[in-house]
Amino acid sequence: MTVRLLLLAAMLPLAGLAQLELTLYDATANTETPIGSSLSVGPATVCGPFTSPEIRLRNIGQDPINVTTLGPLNGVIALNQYPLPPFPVPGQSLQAFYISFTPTALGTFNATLTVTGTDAVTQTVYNLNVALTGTSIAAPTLTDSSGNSYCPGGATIYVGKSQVGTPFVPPTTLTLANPTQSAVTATVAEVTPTPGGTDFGPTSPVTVAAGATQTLQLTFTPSVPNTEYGTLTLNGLVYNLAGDGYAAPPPPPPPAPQPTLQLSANANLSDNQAQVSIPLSAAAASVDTGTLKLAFQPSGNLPDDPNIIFIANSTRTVSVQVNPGDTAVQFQAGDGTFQTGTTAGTITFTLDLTVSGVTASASTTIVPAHVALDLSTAVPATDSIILSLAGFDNTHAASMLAFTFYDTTGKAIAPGLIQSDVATAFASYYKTNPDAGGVFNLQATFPVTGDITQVASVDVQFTNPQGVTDTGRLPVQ
Amino acid sequence: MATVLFAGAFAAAQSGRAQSGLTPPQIGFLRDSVQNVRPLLGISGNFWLGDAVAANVVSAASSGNASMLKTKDSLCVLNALGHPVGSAWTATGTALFAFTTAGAPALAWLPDSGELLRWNGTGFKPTPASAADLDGAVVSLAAPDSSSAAFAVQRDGQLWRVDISLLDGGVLFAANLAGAAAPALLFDDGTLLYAGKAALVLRGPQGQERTIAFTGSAVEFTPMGQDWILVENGQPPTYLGLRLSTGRLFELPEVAQ
Repeated sequence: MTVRLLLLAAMLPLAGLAQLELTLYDATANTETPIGSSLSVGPATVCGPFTSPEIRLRNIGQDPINVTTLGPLNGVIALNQYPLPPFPVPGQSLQAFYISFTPTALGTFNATLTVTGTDAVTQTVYNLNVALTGTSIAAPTLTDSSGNSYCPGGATIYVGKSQVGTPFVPPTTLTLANPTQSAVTATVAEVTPTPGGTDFGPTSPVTVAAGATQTLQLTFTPSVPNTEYGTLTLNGLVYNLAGDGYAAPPPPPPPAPQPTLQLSANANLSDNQAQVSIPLSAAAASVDTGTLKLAFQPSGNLPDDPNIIFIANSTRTVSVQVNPGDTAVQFQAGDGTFQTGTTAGTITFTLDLTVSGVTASASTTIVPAHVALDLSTAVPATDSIILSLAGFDNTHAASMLAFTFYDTTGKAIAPGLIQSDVATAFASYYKTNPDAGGVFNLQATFPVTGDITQVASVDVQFTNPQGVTDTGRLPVQ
Repeated sequence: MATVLFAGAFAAAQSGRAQSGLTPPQIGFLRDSVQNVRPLLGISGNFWLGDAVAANVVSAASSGNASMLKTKDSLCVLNALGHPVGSAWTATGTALFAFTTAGAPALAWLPDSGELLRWNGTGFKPTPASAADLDGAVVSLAAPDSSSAAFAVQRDGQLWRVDISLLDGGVLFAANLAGAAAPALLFDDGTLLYAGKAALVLRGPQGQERTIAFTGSAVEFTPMGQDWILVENGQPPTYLGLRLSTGRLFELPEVAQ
């Protein structure tokens, strides 16, 4: 009895240790193998991590155990799919978890699996420590010329962008290193190969001898303007490839047809309604809008002539537009008719098309001319003759009027030629009537004594710097 | 033997022996696209519009010496300067006008009420003319003399001239204006202006015709000055000036926007 008690006393700590147990579960056989003081994990490669079978932490006692420590939680060798302590493990129950091994380099890695639990009834503390050892084995590796390493199924190897149908050779190359004892083969292919579809190259497999390193030049020929995917299969491991195809840029638009400002033949004459037209060098391919402006630079010191305007809106600017297919610039209002005014000078047209940025200009010069008369009448009244002369002088400088009245026999009536200096009167008129340009209406009343019916006609001569305008004989009627 | 007492137009003017003046030539008055009546100034080929002398005008005509216009419910007569010299309240609607040969106001026809009014120098007076006697839509009105009115009337697609006595309203004369159609303008001497095929046609009192090339679509003819007719062309209309003596058409400036 004494011996048994001593034995029991000696075994108490052992019994406490035995309250928690770690086993390795074989799901296939549905069996558990106790884990001793050490456990090997692996094998694994840099790109091929290892995950252990299910590990079970068993509470083989009756009392619940509160697990307060479980590790390591991080590192090359670390727990996987585990509960965060503290957590209870009821009596006769288990808590499963895994151990993963993710080597970062060739070599051996060590860690300690630690479990601490406290009996919820007896407050007995239980500790388990298992030495974990993992060994990384050699495997083929893939790096690019920028130093980036790739793992199968990991980051996608981006080959770059290429125009549809154009083979593209990325500036970076891949390096295949085969540290294993046997040759490996790399094969590049599209994810979904189709005839005439996108190509990832090289199209022939590349073999890397045991212990050798080889450079691999990828190529990419997209068939569609889209992101395309491929694979590089190395020793059965699949690396993801991707590249972007883009559409061929649309052909550059044809240059905007060149407009030409054409002025009608009468555009260089005062007192005319002339036309400007704007044919295009070719039919327009697209819409354009803009303005056509006219500017007037009077000759010498002459004033502006406000009647040099576009008829359509009585201004010096009209809106224009071009529609696809048009062979001439269109006016948004009117037909391009403008008044040439009644003042000598130069009219300049400037076209600005806003969309194409095309401009064009043309000018016409209206030279100084003789006085021109639009309406000349000589009407007899009771004892006078009323002479009316309407016309224009584009020099604004009429200087002399001369009249000769004739009787019914064709003889000049005394005093014959009658002259009058009108320079001051016209200068004053033009100054006070700037709206008129060079237009005037002169009316003169000539008192007559004697038989007015004998006054048959009158000849008027109008002088300006360009010469003399003669009305010929105006009948008095 | 006559003697012309003239030593020089302007010198004479200064001495009072002769009268003379320089002014911008005024052709007449017209109703613009925004219903204002404005003087039309200038000469053939170089026009400008003066300041408006009346607004909200539905019809207007000018002989150059005088103008008549119709607002919604009134008639007004303007002198050569565009100053009002008389007016009258009338029925609503448009109006057609006629001037004497000398260019004085003569008649106004109010189609909505079928009234023919006569200007007596101070006001408009009713006449016995009856719309029923016209038996058609009045297209134009003329004043051939002081005792009658001449109408161009559209009857069943044909244009007729119907003269009415201003004394008793009786029909003095009615004749089919064969070949002519509205729009048309009847002159006091019997001349008719109408739109023919690709031309404006001036048919004289004896039937002789003069054509003026015209490819537009005339809507209305209105006197706007001595020797000048306003041609409203197309819709919305553009405005053309027809100089009768030369038979030339000119584009008239639009009101500045």
